[in-house]
Amino acid sequence: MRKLLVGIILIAVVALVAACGGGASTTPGGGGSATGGADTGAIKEGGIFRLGTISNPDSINPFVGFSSLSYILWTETYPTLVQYDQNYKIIGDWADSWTTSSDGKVWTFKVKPNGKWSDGKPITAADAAFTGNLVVKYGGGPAAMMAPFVAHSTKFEAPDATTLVITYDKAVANVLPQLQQFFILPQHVVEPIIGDKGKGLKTWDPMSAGAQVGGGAFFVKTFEKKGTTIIQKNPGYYTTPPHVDAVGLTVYQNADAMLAALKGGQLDSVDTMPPTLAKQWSNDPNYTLQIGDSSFTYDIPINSNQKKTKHRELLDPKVKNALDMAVDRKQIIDTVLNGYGTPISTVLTPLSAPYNNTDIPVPSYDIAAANKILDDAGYKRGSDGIRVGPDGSKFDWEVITPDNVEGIDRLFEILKTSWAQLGINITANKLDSTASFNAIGAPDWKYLNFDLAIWDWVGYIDPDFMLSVTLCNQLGGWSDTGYCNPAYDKLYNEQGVTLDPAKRKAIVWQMQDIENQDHPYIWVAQKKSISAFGKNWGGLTEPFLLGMSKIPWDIIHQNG
Amino acid sequence: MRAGWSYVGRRALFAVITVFIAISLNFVLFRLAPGDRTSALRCQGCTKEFKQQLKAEYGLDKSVPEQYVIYLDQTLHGNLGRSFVTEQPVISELWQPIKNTLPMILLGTIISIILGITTGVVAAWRRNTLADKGTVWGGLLFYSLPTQWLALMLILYLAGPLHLPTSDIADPYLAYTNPGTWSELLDRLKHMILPAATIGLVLFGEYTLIVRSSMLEALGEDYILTARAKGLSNWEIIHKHALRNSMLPIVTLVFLSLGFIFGGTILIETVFNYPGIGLQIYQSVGDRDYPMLQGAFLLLTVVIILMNFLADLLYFKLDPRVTE
Amino acid sequence: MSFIDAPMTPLDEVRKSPSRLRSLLSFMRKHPQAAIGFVILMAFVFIAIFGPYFAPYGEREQVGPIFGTPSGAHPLGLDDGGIDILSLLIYGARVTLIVGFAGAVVAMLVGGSIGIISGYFGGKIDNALMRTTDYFLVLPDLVLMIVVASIWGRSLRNIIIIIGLIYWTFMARLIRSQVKVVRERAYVKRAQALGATHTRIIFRHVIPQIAPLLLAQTVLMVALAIFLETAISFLGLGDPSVTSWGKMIENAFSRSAISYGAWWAIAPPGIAVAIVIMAFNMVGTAAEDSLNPRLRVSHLARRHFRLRPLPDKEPPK
Repeated sequence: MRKLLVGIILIAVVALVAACGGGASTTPGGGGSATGGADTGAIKEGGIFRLGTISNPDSINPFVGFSSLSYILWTETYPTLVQYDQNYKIIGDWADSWTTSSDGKVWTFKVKPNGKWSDGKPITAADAAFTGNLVVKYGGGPAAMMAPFVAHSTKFEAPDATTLVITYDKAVANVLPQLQQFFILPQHVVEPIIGDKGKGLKTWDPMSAGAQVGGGAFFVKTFEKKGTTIIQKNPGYYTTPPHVDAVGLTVYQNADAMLAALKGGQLDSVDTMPPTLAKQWSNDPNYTLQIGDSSFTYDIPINSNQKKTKHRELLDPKVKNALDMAVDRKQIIDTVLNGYGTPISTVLTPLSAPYNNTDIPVPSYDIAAANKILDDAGYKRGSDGIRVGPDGSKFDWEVITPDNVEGIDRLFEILKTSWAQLGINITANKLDSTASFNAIGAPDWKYLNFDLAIWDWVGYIDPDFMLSVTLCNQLGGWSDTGYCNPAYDKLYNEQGVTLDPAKRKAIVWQMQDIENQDHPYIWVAQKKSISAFGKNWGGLTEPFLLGMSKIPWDIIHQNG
Repeated sequence: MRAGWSYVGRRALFAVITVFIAISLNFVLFRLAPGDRTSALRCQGCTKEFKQQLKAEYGLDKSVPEQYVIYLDQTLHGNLGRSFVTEQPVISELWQPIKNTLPMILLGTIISIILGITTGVVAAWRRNTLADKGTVWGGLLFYSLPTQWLALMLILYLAGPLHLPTSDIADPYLAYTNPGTWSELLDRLKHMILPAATIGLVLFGEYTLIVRSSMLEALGEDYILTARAKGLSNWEIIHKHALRNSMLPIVTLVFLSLGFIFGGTILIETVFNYPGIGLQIYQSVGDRDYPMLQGAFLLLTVVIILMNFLADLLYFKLDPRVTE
Repeated sequence: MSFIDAPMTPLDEVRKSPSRLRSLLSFMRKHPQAAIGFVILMAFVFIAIFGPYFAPYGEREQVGPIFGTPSGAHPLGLDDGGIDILSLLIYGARVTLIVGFAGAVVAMLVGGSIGIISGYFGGKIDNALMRTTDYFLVLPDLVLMIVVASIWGRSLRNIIIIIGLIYWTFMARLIRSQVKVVRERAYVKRAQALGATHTRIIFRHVIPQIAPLLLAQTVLMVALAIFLETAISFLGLGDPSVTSWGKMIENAFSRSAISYGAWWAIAPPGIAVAIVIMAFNMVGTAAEDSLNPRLRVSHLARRHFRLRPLPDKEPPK
C-alpha cells in the first residue's frame, strides 16, 4: 500500500515538473530560442557556443582516436605550426615564418614566443621537437596515427625557444599541408608517460589530471565520448583570443534528436544537417543555413586485384566503363542527397584545386550506350537475362555496403535498378565498417573475395593522401580496391618530391588519367556540406570544414 | 517439511555454475567471431612488426586453450580487459552507462506497476464490463506495439506539448552554469520520464492481468463476504485483502523483469539517445569492441542470474506451498 | 505447484466431443477474441500471399519526391526514397509473416523435440537437457541477436535461426511437463507393456496428445518472432535486400522522418506490426487458456522474462 502511495506521489511530482518546466533551458550568454535579427555587427563578448553533431569524438588521445570530431578537438586545443585559411590556403598559425634549405630537406620555423599551456607553462619549440622526435621514434608502432603528418622526417631540433628545425630525408612537396595536422603536445605531460617501447602513448588518458593540458585557443575542460565535451578558453593562447568563453560539442545519436535540440534552443549550431531536411530549414527565419563544398564523396570500389580468380570480368576496363555510364548520378543526388551534391568523376574534389583533373568528364547516364559496349565486348546475356563472361562467370555480384554510410540503402537500390537494365544483378552484403573493410581485404589482405563495395571518402585538401590509397604498399593498409600499378606508384613518388606546383599538378593530373582508365573506383558524387546557425550568432560565414581548418573563433561572436 | 537451506544452497550452486558457463560461453562466442583486433587496424604507417607486437600483447598469438585459461584467470580477478576503442579498462567504461540506465528502468518499473495495479483493480472490480475489457486489451495493445515505434510516437506527439527533452540524460550545459542540486535533479528527471514511460507502457499489461486474476480469486473468497458483512469499505477490502494476494507474483515478476529490461533497453535508448548500457552495447557492436561486448554480456548474464536467484528465494520464503 | 506444469484436464473433454468442427465453433463462441484474431490473421496472410499481385506500385519504384505527403494516388504517402508506402506495406507483409512463422517453427521443432525427449526419457538425459535450457534462459536475447547478426551476417536465414535457437526454451519446458503427464497415462503404460518401441509410443500416443498445446505455443511464438524481427531491423541488422515492416521503420528513423514530420512513414508499419502481433496473441492465448486453464501467469510475461518455473514437482500419482 505504501508503495502505491509513494508511486502516485512520484508520478504527480513528475507531471508537475514536466508541466512547469519550460521549453528552452536558460544558458549563460548565448543560446535560447533565437528570434530573428541579422548580424548587426555589434559584438557581445563571452558566452558558450553550443555545437551539435551526430558523429562522435572517439578519443582525446591523438595516438588513439581517428574520428573527424576528434580532429576538430585537437585542432582547437593543440598548437599547430600552420593552418588553412577560409580559402584553403596555408597560413602560419603558431609559426610566424619559415624557410627551407636549398635542397629542400631542412625546414626552419620561427614560432610565436608568448604561448602558454592551459596549466601556465610556456609553449616552446622544445615541445614541438619533443613531439616530433616521439613520432619519428615510435611512428611504426604506438605513434602510427601521427606518423603520416611528419612522413620522411628524421629529426626535430629546437636550438632556442622560438626556433624549430625539421630535417627530412628527401625534399617533400607537401610538408606544410601535412604539418597542418601535426599536433604539438606538451612535453612535461607526455614525457613521463611514454612507457616501455612507447606503450604508454596508447593508454594515455589526457583527461587523467581532471582537464586536458591544452595549448590552442581552448583546452578540453570535460570530455564525454557520447555526451557533451566542453572546451574552455585558454588564457595563454598565442594569438587573437576567441570572443566566446567556451565551446560545447554535444553528440547525438541521430539527426532528429539533434535538430529537435536546435529548434528547442538547446544548441546554437549543428555541424551537418541531413540533406532531407535542408529545404525545410532554409525557410525558417530564425536560422541561417550555410551550404558549401565538402570533400565527402560517394564512391564504388571495384576489386581490381589482377591476381583474383572470381569474376575476372570486373578487371575488364570496358566493363567498368559501362558500369560508370550506368550510374544515374542525377537520381542519386536527388534521392540520397536531396539535391545537395554535385557529380564527380575523379578522386580529387574541387576543394583540392588546382590538382583535381577537370579534363576528365563526368559520364552521362546512358544505358543504351553502356549496353552497346558490353554487347560489343562479347558479353552475351544468358537465358535469365544476366550477362555471362567467356569463362562462364555470371554478372551476378555482391556489393559490400558498410552500415555507417548515410543513405547507403537508397544508393544501392538505385544502382541495382539501373544495372539490372544492363543484365547485371547485384546483392547487398551489409556489414559494419570494420567487417566491411575486412571483407574487402579477405582473405588475409589478399583481396581475392570481394566484388564491389559502396563507400565514402573524406579527402584532405592536399591531394597526397587520397592519391596514396591506391598505392601498392597500401594493400593491407588503406587500400579498399586491391589496386596495384607500379607506373602509378612511380608517379606518386615523383609528385611527393616535386616542389614546383605547376609541375606537381601535371603529374597529379596524369595519375588521375591512369586511375580513370583502370577504374579501381567509380566516383559518384560529392556531397555539399550543410550546417545551420541560430541567428543570434554572427561571423559564421562558412560551414564547418570538419577539422580541415581552425574554426575562426576570433570572428564568431554573439550579436550584441 | 521445509528443507530450507538445502533449497537455497541448491539454487545458489546452480547460479554459480551458470555464471561460470556464461563466462566460458562468452569466450567462445567472441573468439569465434571472424577477424581479430589487429585486422581492424587501419593505420597508414603500421608495420607488420607492430601488428605482430599487438597480437602478442593481446595474447592473440597463443593457442586457443591457452587464451581461454588466461581469459578465465583475468575475468575471475575482475580484469575484463581494455576497450578497443578507448584503450581504457572495460569495467570503468561500463560503469557510467550502468549508472545511467538503472534509475531509468526503476522509474519505468514503478510506472508499469502503478499502471498495472490501477488497471487491474478496475478490471477486477468492474468485471466483464467495458472497463474490464478495455484495460486488459489496452495492456495487450501496448505490449504488442514495437517498443521502438512506441518510443518514436511518444517523441512525435508527447514531447512537444509537454516540453520534454527527447534525447540524452541531462542538459549538457546546465552543469556549466552552476545550478543547484534541485535544478540538476529536475533536469535529469525530465530527461528520464519519456524513456521510463515507454518501459511503463510496454510492461504494465502483465501486472494488469496478475492483479486482475488475483483479485478475482480473492474477491470470491469467503472472508471477503465476511468483510463486506462487517461493513468494510470497498477501498479497505481492495487493499487490505485482495491486493495482498497479488503482491507475491508482482514482486517475483519485478525481479525477473529487472534482469531482462536491463539488456532490453537497447531499443529505447537508441531512440532516445540515452547513454545507458543498451546504447553502449549497440555501439560496441558497431565498433567491434569485443572486450566491451564480452564485459557487457557477462554483466547482463550475471544480473539476470542474480535476479532469478533472488526471485527464487523470494518465492520460497513467501509461498508456503513450495517444498523440496 | 509451479506455473507452467499444470495438468491438462479440458483436453480430454475436447477429445470426447462429437466433431472437431463443433468443438472449434464452441471454442470460438467462448472466446470471441480468438475469432476476431483469427479473421485478422487470415486477412494478413491473404495480403502476404496475393498482395504483391495487386499492389499499386513497385517495391523499388520511385514515384515521387522524398517523403511525399499522402494524396489520392498515394493514400499513405511516400517514404524516404519516394516509394509508395501502401505498396511497401503489402510487400512487407510477406517478409514479416515468413520470418515470424519460420522462426516459430524452428523454435517449435527444436524445443518440441528436446521437450519430448526430456519428458519421455527422464533421468539423466532430462537433467542434462534442462540444465542446458536453463542456461539459454538467462541469455539476454536481444543482445545475443545483435551480436550474432553483426558478426555472422545479416540475412533472413540468420534471424530465423537465432529466433529458433533462443526461444526453443519456452517450448521445451512446457512440452516436457506435458509429456511427463502423458507418459503416466494408462494407455501409454499398456503400450509399453505390450512391447511397443519408444519411437512408436512417442509418435502414436504422445505427440497427438500434446499437439494442440504445441500448436497454441507456436502461435504465441510467431508473435514473439515478429516482434524480434522488427527490433532487429530497427537496429539496422536486418536483411538489407528485403523490405519488412521493421525495415520501413528503420528507414524512416535513419533518414530523419521525425524532424521532417513524415508521420506517414512511421505510423503505418508500426500499427501493422501491432495488429498482427495482437491477433496472434488473441488466438494463441485463447487456445492456451482453454487447454491449460490453471496457468496463473500471463503469457505476456513470457516475452521479457522467459519465466523459469520453480523446481519441478512431480505430478501426484
